[in-house]
Amino acid sequence: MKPESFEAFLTENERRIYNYILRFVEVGDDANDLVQNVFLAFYERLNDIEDKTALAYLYRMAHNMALNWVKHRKRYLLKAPADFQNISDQSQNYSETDYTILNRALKSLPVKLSTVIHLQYYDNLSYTDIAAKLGISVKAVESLLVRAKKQLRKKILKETGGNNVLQNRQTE
Amino acid sequence: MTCNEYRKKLIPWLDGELKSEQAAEMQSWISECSQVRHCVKCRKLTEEFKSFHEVFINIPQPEFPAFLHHRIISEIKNKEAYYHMKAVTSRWKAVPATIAILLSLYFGSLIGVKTFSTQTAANGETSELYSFGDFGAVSTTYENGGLE
Repeated sequence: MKPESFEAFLTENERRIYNYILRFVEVGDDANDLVQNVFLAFYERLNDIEDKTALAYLYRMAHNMALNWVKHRKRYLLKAPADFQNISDQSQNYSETDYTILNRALKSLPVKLSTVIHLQYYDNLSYTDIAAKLGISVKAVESLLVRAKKQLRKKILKETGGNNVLQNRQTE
Repeated sequence: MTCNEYRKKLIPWLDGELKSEQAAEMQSWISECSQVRHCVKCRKLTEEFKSFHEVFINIPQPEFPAFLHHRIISEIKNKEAYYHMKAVTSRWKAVPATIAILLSLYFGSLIGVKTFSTQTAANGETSELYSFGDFGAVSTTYENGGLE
């Protein structure tokens, strides 16, 4: 990719990468810093990146950096003893919002599957558009989306003990 | 259409990616076929994926902070300036190195010249000795040897 086209690429993709990262880190300020780091790292490797696969590369960088950040935060986050009283009982019935469960399931997906889901729902792109953005075939997009949704369904059902809270919410 | 075929095409159908004929076929199969009416798993899957789809579509989008774009651009410009300075500094670092190499060559050649001139003097003495021999003992011996 040429350095001249970087600013246009940034303008086109900064929102979607911000949304993607925010799902992992959940704090706006941290997401800002991470987005900045992702684009800086991307810029440093600009000469090695092809235009065709640039977005897939960017998503992979964002995914890895966000996961590292989450791991780092887990390791060093200090909790006050009083906080332990507020930890929820894992055995109780689920009363979390659907988005929390959904986000957790999305976070645990591999980067390729997570990327196609993000492009489809957060950017409202069709299979053809996703294929063009990621530099892969439409068939590959379809296969990735099917796998992603099946995995999501499994994870959500497992987490909610076989009770599809998403479905319940819709029918309420 | 069989249950397996239906399930294979279910997600692309819900995503609106099937051709109109295929979509109509899927719709009629799930709603009209008497056998399917009893296929609990197909119906359950359809409902679940439909609900996923609706939830995904309704997820609120966070607002993108407008300042972030400018922050990234200015950070990149700062980095570029830093790299430029680094390149210039490394280029100037080559100057004293070149001077050191040239000086060492100069002094090396001076030492070489001095050494070379001493060796020439020694060679001169040797040639004198040989010439002495040629004109003295060897020629005399030859003349007085009486070979002829």
